[in-house]
Amino acid sequence: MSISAIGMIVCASLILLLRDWRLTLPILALHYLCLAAFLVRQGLITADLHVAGIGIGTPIIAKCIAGGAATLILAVTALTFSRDYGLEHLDEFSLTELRRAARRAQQQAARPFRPTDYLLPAVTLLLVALASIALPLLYPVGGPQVDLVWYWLGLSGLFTLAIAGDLLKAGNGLLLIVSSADLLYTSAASSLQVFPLLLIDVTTIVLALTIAYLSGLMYARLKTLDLESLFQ
Amino acid sequence: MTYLLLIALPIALAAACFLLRQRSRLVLAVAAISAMAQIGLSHAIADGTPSRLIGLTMSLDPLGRLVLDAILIAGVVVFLAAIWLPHGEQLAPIGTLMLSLAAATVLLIQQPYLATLLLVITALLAVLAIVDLPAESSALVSPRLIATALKFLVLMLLAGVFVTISLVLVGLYRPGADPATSPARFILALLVIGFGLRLALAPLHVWLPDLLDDAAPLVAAFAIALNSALGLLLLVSALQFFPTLVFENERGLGALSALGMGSAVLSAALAVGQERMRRAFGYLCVANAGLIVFGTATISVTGISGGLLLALHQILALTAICIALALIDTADLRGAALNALARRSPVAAIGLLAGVAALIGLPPFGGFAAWLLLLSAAAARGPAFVVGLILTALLGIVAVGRIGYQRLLGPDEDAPPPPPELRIGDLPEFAQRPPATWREPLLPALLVVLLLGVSLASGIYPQPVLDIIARAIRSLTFVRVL
Repeated sequence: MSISAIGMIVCASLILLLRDWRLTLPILALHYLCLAAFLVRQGLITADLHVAGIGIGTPIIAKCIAGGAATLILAVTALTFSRDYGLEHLDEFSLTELRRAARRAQQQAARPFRPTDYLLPAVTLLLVALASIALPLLYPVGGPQVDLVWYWLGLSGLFTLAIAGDLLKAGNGLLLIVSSADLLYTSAASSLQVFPLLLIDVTTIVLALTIAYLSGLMYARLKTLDLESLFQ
Repeated sequence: MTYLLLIALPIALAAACFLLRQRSRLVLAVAAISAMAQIGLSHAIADGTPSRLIGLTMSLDPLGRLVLDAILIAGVVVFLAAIWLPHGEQLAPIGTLMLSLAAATVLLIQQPYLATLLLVITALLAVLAIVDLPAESSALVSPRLIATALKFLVLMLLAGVFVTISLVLVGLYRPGADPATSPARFILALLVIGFGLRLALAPLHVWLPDLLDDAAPLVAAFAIALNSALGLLLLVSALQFFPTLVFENERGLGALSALGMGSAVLSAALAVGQERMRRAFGYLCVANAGLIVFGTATISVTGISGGLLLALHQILALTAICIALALIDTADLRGAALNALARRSPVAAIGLLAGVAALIGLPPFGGFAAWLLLLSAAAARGPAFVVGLILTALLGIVAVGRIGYQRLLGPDEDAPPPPPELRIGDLPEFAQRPPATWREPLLPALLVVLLLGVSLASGIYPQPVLDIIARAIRSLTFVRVL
């Protein structure tokens, strides 16, 4: 198995396991680099550019840019949460509600570290591993290596979404799911076309923007990105 | 050139609307004109004359034209109504952009990958419209609305991914394989999950009742109309371009019919149990989605015609209901008894009653013809389907009757008042009318009357609409072969 394929599997697993965006976002960026390296190695996209002696197709460069942009958007969003904004436009009722939400968020943030918090992600990672090994045997699509990686990415994304405690982690899960569909299409589609590849990249960026926008709205209202407070 | 204009014109106007978004009425008028121009442009394209543009083949078949017309008309109505009713700051630019993407989806429907991805991007844009607030609003978006938007985002993205995966598998699949080992059923299962999420088939329906309950009514109407119409078109196109799904999958399609009917009965039963009026309407829409899927899965002219007619009538009825709901929000008549509502806002009251009657297909509204066609398709499938259809109709009537009964009697004066719900109409920007002198705005009222008039006319004399639908259905290869 290639290093890039192993890299994607490790990155997806770490995104599923870890909670802190300071760790998961760089890992997400690394995942996109591994995806690009994997596609270059597969040689499915015609190389029309030469970078440092390596032939790379333009769609792969576009994928790197889209992945980088999505990571950057989420990183800027996460950094923006460290400050308040637009408070001067709020009325008294909204400000009172905001103070109450800030108190609640402070109480949640003060919770001590507990190893049991990582128990559920670890169990789901085990499930992802078992399913990703079993599914390519039942439903082979694009060769053993591609199958293992796309099933792993898709299932990791799905489980990340299922156990996500905050909106940014849910966004990471959604981006992994899109990445999985992207890999499947690029590696296994009967006729590879440029426009669907580019539209997947556009989807990645628009998805990151939408998550960022929702995060901004949620933080402005609840002073936290915890999904628990959203559904209370 | 016409193809390009149909997509590019609204994009250019959406950019202009975004720049001028502070002048709300002007940009909404521009958005409505843009949608009208799209209708004109779509009719300037002749049937079956594909055009090749930057490596992509675009075409407009009769079915696509019908769906596109329905969406664009809904767009025009929503934009015009929004001039006088509560709406967010970005409704015009986002709505216009969504209509551009809808046109692109219809024109590129022969390339299902592209169409699927365009639908995902359209849904992502709809999320922005759902959480949109008026310009310089002093309020914050409610957590419930953010949760609804997030739910919509996640489910629509998953729907797109499932459909994309199934299309890749269909492309790899070679027909003529042993039916016992054929992956056609697995592919159909993926398609069912994808389209079930998009069309809101129970139990994958959670986004629709939430959207109707929490979002601004006009945005909800627009998002649901666009989603259901384009979702149905993509489903029919998937069956059209991958006929192996139909020909090697009789049992799978039978199961899909049963799933559609089961979803319809379950949703209608859930509608009966709803305390909140808007959620009940949402569940009635979910029941309709079940019937639409049932009709499509019968792979018969009557079934598909019934499903398509029901989808078109749902767009009419739901748009009328949502404008009526927006009028009620504006007049602050939520929770008012129907007699009070009728006195203060007669068109909203009548629109609500007649719209709901049209939604559940009561005669003489147009939805009734769709129900008759579906009944015919159900009779051909077996008595269980007929019983299911009748049960759905009865439960729908009970749900509507229950809401009507509660609203006619009004709230109990001794009961504690319900907690206030913040809606877009409560914002100071829209709360400047003195209650005693408030009158229904003329244009939204006229639009409600017009929509219900069209539904009534097509119910009394449905033949012209049925002819158009029959022409569209006849262009489908798998229906002709079967």
